[in-house]
Amino acid sequence: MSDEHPAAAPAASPAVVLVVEDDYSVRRMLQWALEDDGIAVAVAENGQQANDWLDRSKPALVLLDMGLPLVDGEGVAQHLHGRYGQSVPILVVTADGHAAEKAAKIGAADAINKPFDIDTLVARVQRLLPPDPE
Amino acid sequence: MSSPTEVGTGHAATLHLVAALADPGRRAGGAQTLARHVGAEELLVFLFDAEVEAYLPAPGFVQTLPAGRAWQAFLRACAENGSWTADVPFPTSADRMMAVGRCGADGAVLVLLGGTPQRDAVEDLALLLPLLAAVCRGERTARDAQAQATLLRRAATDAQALAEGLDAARRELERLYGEVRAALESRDAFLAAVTHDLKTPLTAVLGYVQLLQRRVRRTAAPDTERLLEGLQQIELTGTRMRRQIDQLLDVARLQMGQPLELERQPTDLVALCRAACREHQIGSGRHRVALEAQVDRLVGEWDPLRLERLLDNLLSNAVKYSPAGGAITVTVDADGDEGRGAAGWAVLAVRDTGIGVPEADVGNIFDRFFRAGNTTRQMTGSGIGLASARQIVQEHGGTISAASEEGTGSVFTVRLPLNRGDGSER
Repeated sequence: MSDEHPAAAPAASPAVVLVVEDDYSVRRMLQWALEDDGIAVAVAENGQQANDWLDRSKPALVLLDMGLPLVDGEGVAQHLHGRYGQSVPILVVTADGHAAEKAAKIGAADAINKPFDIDTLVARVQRLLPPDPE
Repeated sequence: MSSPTEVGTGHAATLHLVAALADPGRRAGGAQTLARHVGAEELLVFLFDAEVEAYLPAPGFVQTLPAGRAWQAFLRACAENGSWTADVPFPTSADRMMAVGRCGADGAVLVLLGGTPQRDAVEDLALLLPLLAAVCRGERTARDAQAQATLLRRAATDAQALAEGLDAARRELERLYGEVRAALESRDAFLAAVTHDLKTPLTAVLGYVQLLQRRVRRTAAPDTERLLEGLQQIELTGTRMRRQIDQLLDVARLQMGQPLELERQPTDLVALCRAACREHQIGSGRHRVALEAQVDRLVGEWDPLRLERLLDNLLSNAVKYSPAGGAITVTVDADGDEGRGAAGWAVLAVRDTGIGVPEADVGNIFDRFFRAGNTTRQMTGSGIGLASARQIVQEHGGTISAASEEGTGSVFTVRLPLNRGDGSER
């Protein structure tokens, strides 16, 4: 399991997506899906880990599950906004069927309900990422 | 309005009031209260230690007796003393008795309080004192006083009973409300838990399937076709699971009287029908599932996932209730409604050659949990498919109907407005 713990923050790489998801299978699947499309990924399995990671590094996007151990999705969003303002978009991913509602509540840029289509998810992520400088 | 004090004063006769207060704790205050209510020139308050006592203010007639016996003694005294009159005692409550007697020319009034006063005996007495004063002056008879007291008592008792009844009703309502709330909350919690627990693994399964499909396509290994087919089946199963979950949630909304939140977007009904027919053809070799579309595309502002479920329900039923196999035909057409221009309807029909629906049941098949009388044990079902279908159609502003002949087959016809405002707004 240690291989999937958040590593030291990648050095100022602008295109890292932080995936915050407590379910192991879903977390690995999200990581795989984004990496297959050439997107760098960092993962956190609970809200506290996510906040610790955010203290060390600024991601390009946060893919955020709402029901999380220790600190929930709302707590992560607050921490992110407190640290980086609105400069880092959040894509809410939730299984309760009210993704849009949740997103509006925490000031997220977009929302997607589980289960989702991989192509749709990747397209939504790509749309929220800043344009590739190269 | 005359106060008790005014009633008492200004009268020439000496007013003797005798009150027998059984409650020792109230005696001190009792005398003052009585004096305040009646301007009697002479107020006699006799205090007793016994729980139930009486005092008769006749010379040589001092006795301590239970109220019932005191009354008997008073009656005897009246018989002996011609100037005394006695009136019938009347119960003031289950545990108490009050009696009023008029003691002749000197205007003394006897009040007997029996039983154990559980409420404020002095207040009870004070309520009656103005009347008793009037009795003393000969303006009212003791019987009037009794009647008045009885009315007052009855009103107080009635009001108290009413208040107690209302209070009990309120408590019962609160209890029921609490139960209903708890039931609703536990069901909501149950649904949320079930949904979450099912959707999370489903997310993973569907995601991996799609990832594998992408990888296999990219590598083009020799057995990719077989692999892809298997993976497609897994995806299909996952999709079915999602549909069932969504249907459960929608039915729960229906039960709670909440509308669906339709996610309307331009949706091609012909494409949905084509996909649904293909899916059910794969699922059953016994049936020939055919689409007969009169138009290539038929686009309306509909909720695609819910129409997909509607089609799935109708086709699943067609397959399930045609156990011997046979033809299942889906027809799609636009009903132009000549004269109304572009406004019109999409008309969808699903026809099977199955067991049909008994005539007596056709009117009920869209009711939740209703299942027709000719379904067998093998034809398992929850009875929510058609109820859900009707819910979806009605939320879109459309209609659904069934025509059937038992043993021959059924036709389910759905009409959906092509224009959003058509019939869906009210």
